[in-house]
Parts: sequence; structure tokens; C-alpha cells
Amino acid sequence: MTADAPIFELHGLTVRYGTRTALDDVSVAVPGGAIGLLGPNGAGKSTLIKALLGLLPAAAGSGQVLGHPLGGEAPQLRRRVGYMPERDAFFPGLTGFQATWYAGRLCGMPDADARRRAHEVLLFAGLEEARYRDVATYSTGMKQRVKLAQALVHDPDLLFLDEPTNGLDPKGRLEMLDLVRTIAHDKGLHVVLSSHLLRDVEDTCDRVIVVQGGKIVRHEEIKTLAHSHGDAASVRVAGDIEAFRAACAARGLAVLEQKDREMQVKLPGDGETRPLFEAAVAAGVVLRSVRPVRVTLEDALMDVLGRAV
Amino acid sequence: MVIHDRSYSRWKGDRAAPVKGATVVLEAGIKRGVATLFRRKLPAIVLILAAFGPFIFFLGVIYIRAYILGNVEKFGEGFIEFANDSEVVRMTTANPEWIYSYMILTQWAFVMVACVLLGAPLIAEDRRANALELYLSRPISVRQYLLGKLATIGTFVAMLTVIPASILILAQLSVSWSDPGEPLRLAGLLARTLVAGAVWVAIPSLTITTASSLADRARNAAILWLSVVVMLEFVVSNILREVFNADAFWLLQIGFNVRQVVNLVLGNTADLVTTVPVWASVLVLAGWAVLCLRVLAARVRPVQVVA
Repeated sequence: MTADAPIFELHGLTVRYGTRTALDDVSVAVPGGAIGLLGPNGAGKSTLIKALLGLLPAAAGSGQVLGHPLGGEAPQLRRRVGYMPERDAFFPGLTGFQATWYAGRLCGMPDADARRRAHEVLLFAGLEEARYRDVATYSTGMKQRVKLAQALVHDPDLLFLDEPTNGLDPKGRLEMLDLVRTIAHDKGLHVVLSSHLLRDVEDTCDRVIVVQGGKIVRHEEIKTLAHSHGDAASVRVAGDIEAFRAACAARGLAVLEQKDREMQVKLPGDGETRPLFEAAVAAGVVLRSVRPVRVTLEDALMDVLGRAV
Repeated sequence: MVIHDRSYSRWKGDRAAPVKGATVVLEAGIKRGVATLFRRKLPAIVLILAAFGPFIFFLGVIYIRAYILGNVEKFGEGFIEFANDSEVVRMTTANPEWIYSYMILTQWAFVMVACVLLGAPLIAEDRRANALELYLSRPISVRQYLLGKLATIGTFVAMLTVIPASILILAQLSVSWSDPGEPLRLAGLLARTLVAGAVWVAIPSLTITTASSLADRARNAAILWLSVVVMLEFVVSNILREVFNADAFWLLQIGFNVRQVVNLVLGNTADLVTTVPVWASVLVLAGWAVLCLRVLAARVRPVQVVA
């Protein structure tokens, strides 16, 4: 695999649970870095990760992950990827240290290396003396940390994190995101982070893949996605507001929302406000105030998802 | 003051070395089994003494008798008589009946305890803790995982049955090396014991592992396993035999079929129901093993799809 080759590539991938189609004809080529998988619950994010890991068979289509063909048990691929599952999962009857050491041994690490790495990644994940306690006694936050340590112990090239902030309190969430950011941006690992929380993805990732109804509806850099939706202006109008709406529509200015006499109008790509004033003149209204409003990733995502439905 | 490096560092080890998944699962399974057993120390010690008591006794008698017979000048008439007593000779002469009696009749209760205590949690607890997803997202296959789990309970059952039986034969061999024909006879017996022991280890191990895969808790797996054993061994088979007056219903008892096959391998005729052909028992056991393996393959998956 060359440096700029995609970390994974899918061609018409379809995955079904019985008769229900969870991923429908998905095609995408994803370059390295920190990738966010965004979408509402049930969109197919976890299914996509499991299909990439070979845990779910493809009903149709093909693909590759880190140069290894998709499907099957693919031991060589799994030595190079780490996986932090969404749900509560642990090796029963083991302490945090033993579970992490065991995860390393299962990845083919020699005993001494697995022991040393287990201590290292547990300290990195913030589990100090607690690493000698049975995982079953851990709080939700500690379980998430030990899952992260288990996914990292064999030093994967690609890390799949499925809803890593699930069940965490605000402080724990920020700490977890900080760890993910460090791994992705300072340590050179490729990270695929699945979340339904926009801020998690916005805070940690460079690119975003938006999944909706088993399809990929958008895949691009986060800043491009936000920018491609341009900027908006919050406008307070005096006069015939319906005439102003019609004049905006005639000039291709979408009204995002309206509350009484105040409305948010989406501006053209370059953020130019001139068409707004032209619409006011045409409608014979007075603009009492015009304030710029930045389009966030949330607005962009809602727009993308809204169009996809 | 100890200063820990809390940053993330890359691992520079060999990433191409083969993954011995089954061995890693076996190693962890045995450690966990021992920890489970010794959770309560006193009952564990009592159980171990009871399970290995006959083995230690037989081993002691073999070596004491050999020592007395090898040093007759040091011992009085009474000791020589003791060493040549027919009952002592019978106890220290390894033969097919003796092996059968030790492996099956003496140890079956301990095999049951091992299956309930150490076999029932094997897969059930992994299912309860969602650990299958963790195992199978790593470079080990379903086959390696199952092999590791089966080997775990198989090791414990073997430690109770075929391993002590084999050690007793080897002990006998070590003291009767100079007897003409004896080493060859004991070597043959050892080979047959290993094969018979493999059957005796495999069937309970497969059955309890399958029961474990069907439950989400060790307790439920143990209840399921005991129910199957009790129903087939003691209720269904006996009732049907009484009602229809046909020996063929012996075949419903997995334990009976194991005894038939073990006897066949050891070249024994004890405890055989002559009207039930041994080949039928072999077929029943083979079918049972295939059924267990199919259930295991269906139940051990990284992702459970609920329709």
C-alpha cells in the first residue's frame, strides 16, 4: 500500500441482516487520517465497521482494507487493525491489565511484549491502579478506556472506534476525545470514529462520511462540507415579509428558518450579501439588521440528511 | 519517584509471526479454570484429594510392592506375603479391566464436577460479557477459538482420567522392565488407553462446550447439560427400554455408548450389553459429535443477528 493509497475502498458493498438491507450498494474510497462516520442511530455505521473487519459477510460487492481484500477471517488484516466495539464487551473474570495483555496475546504478540504494552496503553488510557481490578467492577468510563487500551495494545495501523463516548459523563467524554485526537494526529494512526454525536466527529476528525439509511450520502473533508454550505445571514425585516421571501427565492437565496420578523437566509457560496439587499429593494422592505451567521457542521449535516431522506 | 511514560509509543515487534490462537485461548482457559477452582480453597483441596486419591494410592502400592520384592532380605515374612497377596497383585497389575474401572467407574463423578464447574462457563460467560466480538475481531478464527475452549475442558477431564491412568501404566512399566513380555504388553495397553481415553475425554468435553454455547450464563449451561445427561441417561432410555423391552434403547445413553467404545478399544468385555452392537454405539457417538460441532459453529459468531 502506498502512502496516499486509500485505507479502505468499497465497490457496491451490500450487507443484509436476514431480509433487511443494512448497507445498500456502498462505494467509497477513503484516504488515511482521522475519519468520522456520522449518521443517526440505525443508519448503518456499526454495520459498515463490522463489514470492514470481516465480521459480517457481504451479500454483494467487494473492497479492500489496508490492501487486504474484504471478507473472511483475514488474520493478516486483523493484526493491523484495532477495534473498540460499541457495546459493553470484556473478557470475563480478568483484570484490566490481564484483559489488555490477553488482547495483545490474541493478536500474536509475544508474552513479554504483550505485558509491557498492556501497562503502557493502560497508562496512556488513564487507567492507573484500577488496571489491577476485575473489569466487571469498572464504571462505564473505565470500561470504555479499557476497551480503547485493548484496541491499541498491538499497535494497529488503523483503529475503528464505534461510539467511543457512549455513556461517558462530559469530563470523561472530553478526555476520551483528547485521547482519540492524540492517537489520530500525533501518533500517525488512521482512525475511523463512528458517532451520532456531531461534536465528537467535529472535534477529532479531518474527514467525514455521512451514512443514512444504509447508504453513504456524503464523504468529504469537514471544512469543505461546512464551507460548501456557504454562510448565512440573520435578517430583521420591516414591511411585507412574504414579498421579501419571494424576492429571496427569485434570487436563489434559501430561507433556512423564520421566527416572527427575523429570518435566516443562506447566502451564495462566496458569502456575498448584495443579493439580499437587491431582494429587499425589489420587495420594498427595509432591513433593520443583517448579522452574519456561520454555518456549522451541524447545519451542513442536517441539510445533507434532510436532502437524503 | 517512579516516572511513567504516559505517551503512546509504536510497537516494533514482529507482526508477521503466526498467531497461535488456540494455544493462547487454552492457556488463558486453564489459568481461569484453576482460579475458579481455588476461589474456595478448602473445598478445592478436598475435591482434588478425592479425585486423585485412588491414583496416589495405586501409585504408592505399585512402588511399595516393587520395593519389597526387590529387597526381600530387608523385610520379614509378613511383608513378602503382603507383596505377593493376590489382591495386591491384582491392584498393581495394569490390565484393560483395571484401566476401565479406574478411568470410567472411579472417575466419572469427578468428570461431571469438572464439566459443571469448569466447562459450563467456557462460552456462556464469553457470550454474557459480549467477548465473542472481542475474540473474533482479532486474528483468530472461530475454529481456533473453539479448539482452545475444547482443549481447555479436555485438559481438565484428561487430568482426571487418561493422564493418571497412563502414569500408572508407566509406573508399572518402570518396575516390571525386566519381566519377559511385560514391557510390550504394557506399551500396547498404554496405546489402547490413550485412544480409549481420547474418546472418554472428547465426548463430555464436546457436550458441555455445546451446552455452554447455548446459554448466556454458566449456571444455565450447567443446568442444561445436567438435564440432558439425566434425561437421556436415566429417564428416557430406561423408560423406553422398560416399555418396549428392547435393548436398542441403550443407544440413547451417551454414557453407555462411551463405555461400549472404550471397552472395545481396550479389548474388554466387561460391562458390555452384547445385544447392542458396538458399531451402533460408534455411529451414535459420531453423530453426537457432529451435532455438537454444528451447534457450536452456529452459536459462535462475532455478530448475533436477531431477525
